[in-house]
Amino acid sequence: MSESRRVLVVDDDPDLRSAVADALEDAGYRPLTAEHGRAALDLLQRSRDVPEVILLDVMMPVMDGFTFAAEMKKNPRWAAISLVLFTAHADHARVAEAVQAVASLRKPLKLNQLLAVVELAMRFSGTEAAASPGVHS
Amino acid sequence: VTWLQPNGRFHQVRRLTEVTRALTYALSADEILELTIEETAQLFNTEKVAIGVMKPRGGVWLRSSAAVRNGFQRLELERFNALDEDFVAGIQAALGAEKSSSFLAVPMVIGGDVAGLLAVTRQPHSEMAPEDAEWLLTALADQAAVSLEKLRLNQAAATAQKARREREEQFQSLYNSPLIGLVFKSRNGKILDANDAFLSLAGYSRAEVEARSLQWDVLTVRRGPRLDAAARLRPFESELIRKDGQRVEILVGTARLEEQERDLMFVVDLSAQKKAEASLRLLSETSKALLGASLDYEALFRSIAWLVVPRFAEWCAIETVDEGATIGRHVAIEHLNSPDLESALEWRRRFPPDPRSKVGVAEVIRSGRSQLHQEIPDTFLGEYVCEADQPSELRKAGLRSALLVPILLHGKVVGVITLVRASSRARFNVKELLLAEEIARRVASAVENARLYRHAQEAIGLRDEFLSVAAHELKTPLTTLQLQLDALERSIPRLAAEDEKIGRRMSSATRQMDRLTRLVEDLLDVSRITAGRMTLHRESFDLAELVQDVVHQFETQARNVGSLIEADWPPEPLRGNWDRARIEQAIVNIVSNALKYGAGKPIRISASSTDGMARLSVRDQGIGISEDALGRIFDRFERAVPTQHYGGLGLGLFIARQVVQAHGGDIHVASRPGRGAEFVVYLPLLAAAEESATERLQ
Repeated sequence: MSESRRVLVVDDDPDLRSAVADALEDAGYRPLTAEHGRAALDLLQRSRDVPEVILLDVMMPVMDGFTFAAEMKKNPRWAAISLVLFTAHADHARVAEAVQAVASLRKPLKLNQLLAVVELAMRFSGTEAAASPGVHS
Repeated sequence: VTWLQPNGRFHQVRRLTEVTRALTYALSADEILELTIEETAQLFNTEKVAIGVMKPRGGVWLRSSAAVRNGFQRLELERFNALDEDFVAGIQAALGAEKSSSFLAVPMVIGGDVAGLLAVTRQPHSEMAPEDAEWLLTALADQAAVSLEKLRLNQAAATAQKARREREEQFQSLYNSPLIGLVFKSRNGKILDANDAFLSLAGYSRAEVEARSLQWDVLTVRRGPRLDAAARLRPFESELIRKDGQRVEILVGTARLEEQERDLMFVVDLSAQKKAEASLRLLSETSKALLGASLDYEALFRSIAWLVVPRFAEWCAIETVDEGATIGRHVAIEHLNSPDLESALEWRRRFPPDPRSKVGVAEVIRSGRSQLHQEIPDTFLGEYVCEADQPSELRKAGLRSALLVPILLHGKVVGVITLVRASSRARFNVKELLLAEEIARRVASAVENARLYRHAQEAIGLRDEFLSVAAHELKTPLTTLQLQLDALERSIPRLAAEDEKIGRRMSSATRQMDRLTRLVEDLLDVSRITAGRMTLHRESFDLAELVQDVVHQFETQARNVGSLIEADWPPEPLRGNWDRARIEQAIVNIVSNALKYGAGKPIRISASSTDGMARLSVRDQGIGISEDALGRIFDRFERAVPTQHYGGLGLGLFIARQVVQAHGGDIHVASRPGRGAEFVVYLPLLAAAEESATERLQ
C-alpha cells in the first residue's frame, strides 16, 4: 500500500472543488483537482504518481463521470485507483455500481462523512477495487 | 150433428185454426202460454186452466187462469223438478178439482221430450164427450208445444247470429286498425288479402294485392321458424322489405286457418321501438367508449366512428378543425367495404373541398350548425367525386342521406362528424339529427376532458421536473457550504477562546444548514416518489433500536419546545427487512410533526408487534386535526393548519406514508381538534423463518 495519500477531486463546481481539496489537505491528504473527466485524464497521464483515490462527480461538461470511469479502466496503470462517487444523483448506489466505485457519497454531506469514506477508499486502493463490496453513505 | 153446434167439433176446429195462427205470431213464451190458457178456457167453457212447462235450464214455468191464481200461489214450484205424479197431483189440487173425473191433463212434447202439461177442470155437465175433450186439449197442447219449440229454435238462431255478427265486427275493427298489419296468404305464400295498415307499411297498393302478384317470402326476410303443422307459432322478429327497398323491423305472428287453407299473418311495425332502443344503446355505448378512451383524440374519434358504422350509418367521417382553419382534416373514417368509397376518400384527400361551399363540411365549420340532408345534394357529393364529369362515387356506392354535425368546444368548431346512410335504409330524420348532435356533444366533452387532463399532466410534469432540477442544483452549493462550515467548526475551539459569540454563530449556521439540507432532500424525495423512482435498500434491523436513535436525535429540540418524549418498548426486538435510512426518515417526519403541533405537551411513543406487523404509535396532546383535514393530511403539499402559523413545505407526512407503503405497511391517523393526534405506523415484520435465515447470513 503506497503512502502518498494522493486524492484526485473531479468536479465542475470550482467552489466545491476547492472546499473539498482544502478539507482533504487539512486532514493530511495531498489533493489534486480537475474540472471534468477530460482534464482528469490529462492530469493522470501527465503525473508520475498515480493517486490512490479519485472523488468523481457524474454530471460534468466536456466529459462526464461515466465516460471518465470507462476510459480510466482501460489503462492497467490506473486499475488500482479507488473510485469514490460524489454525486447528487437520486440513485447514487446504482450509479456507483455502474462505474465500479468502491463507495458513493451523496451531496450534500458532512465533513466527517467525507473524510471517513476517503480514508476507507484509501485502504482499498491497490487491492482488487472492483471485487470489493461497496460502501454507501 | 154436433159438428154444426156452437160447441161442436167444426166450431172447435175453426177456433183451433185461429189459435194456431195467433200462436204463430206470438213473440215470447209468456205470450204463448197466456194465449193457450185463454183459448183453452174459452173452448172448455171453464175458468180453471193451468199450464206448466219445464224451463230449458231447470225449474218449471207455471201459468194459470185468473180464477185459480191463488191456488197456484200456494204451490211451491221449487220442489218440482220433473213432470211426475206429484206435479200432476199438485196441479190438480191447485185447480180445485176434487174428483179425477172432472180433471183433464195432457202432456206437451217439445223437441221430442215431455216438457209440459196442459190441465183443465171440466164442467160437471159438459156437453163435450170425454174423448172430444181429450182430443181438443191434446190439439191445444200440441199447438202450444210446437210454438214454444219454434220460439226456442228462433232464439237460439238469433243468439248464434248475434255472436257471429259481434265476432265479425271485432275482426273488422282489428282489420281496420292502423296499428297492426294483417295479411292472408295461401299455403304457397301468395298474398291473398292485406289490410291498409300492412299496405302502408309495405308501400304497396291494394291493386297489387288484388292482382295476386305479391309473395310473402319475397316481402319479408325469413328469420322466424318455418310454418309447420302447428297452427299457432310464437311471434318472431323479421324484416319487411318495402317496395322502395327500405327495410323495416317487424314482429310477425301467425294463425293457420285450416279450413280456408290459408294463413293469417299479424305484422307489427317495430321500427320506432327498435330505433329508440338503438339510439339509447348507441348513446350509452358512446359514453362508455368515451369514458374508457385514451387521451389521444384520434383514437377517441376512431372508436366513435367504429361504433356508429354500420348500425347508424354506412359511412362516418370525423375531421378535426385546427384553430382558424376553414377546412378539416380527416382523422377517423369508418365505412362499409367498398372500392367506390375508397376512391371517393382518395379524391377528398387530394382535392379538399372549397371552403366557400354553401353545403357540406366547410359550411358546418363556418356556421357551427348541423346539416340534415335527406337527399345528398350534388354540391356535397362534389367533395367526394373522382372526376368532375362522373357521377359521384358516393352515389355509385348507394349512399343517399347525410348528417353533418359540428363538435363544438366553447362555441368553437373543433371537428365535424359526417354520417352518410345507404339508400337501402330509411333516410335520416330530425330525431336522428338530435341523436347525432348528442353524440357530438359527448365527444366534445370527452375532448375537453382529455385536453384538461393533458394540460394538468403537463403542468404536473413540469413542476416535478422543476423540483428535481432545483433540488439537484441546490445540492452543490449546499455541499460546499456544509464542508466549509464543518471545517470552520473544527477551528472553533481555537477561535472561541478569542470570541464566545463566534461559537453561537457557528452552531446557528450549522443548524440552518441542516434545515436547508432537509428541505432540499424532501423536495427531491417528492419528485422521486412521484416519478416512481424511490428504491429501497433493505436490511434486517430492530425498529425499537432505530426509534430510540430518533428519540435521542430529538432530545434537544424537544427540550427547546418544552415537550417531553416518553417511550415504551416491548422486551423482544421488532425485526424487519427494511430500508434503514428511509424508515428513519419516515419516523423523523412523524416525530417532528408531533413536536411541531404538540403544543409543548408530552409526546408518547410506543412500539409493539401485532399479527406479523410492527406497530409504532406516536401520540401528542397538541392542537389536533380537524375532520375535513384528516382525509388529506398525507397528500402532497397538504397541511391541516394555515401556512402562516407553521412553517415547512407540507411534505413530511406525504413522504412518511409513501415510504411506509413502499415497505408494504401503512400509516393511520386518529385525531380530534384540540385533543391531540395519534399516528400509527404498521410495518411487516420478518417471519420467524426468514429471521433465522437472516441471522445465519450475518
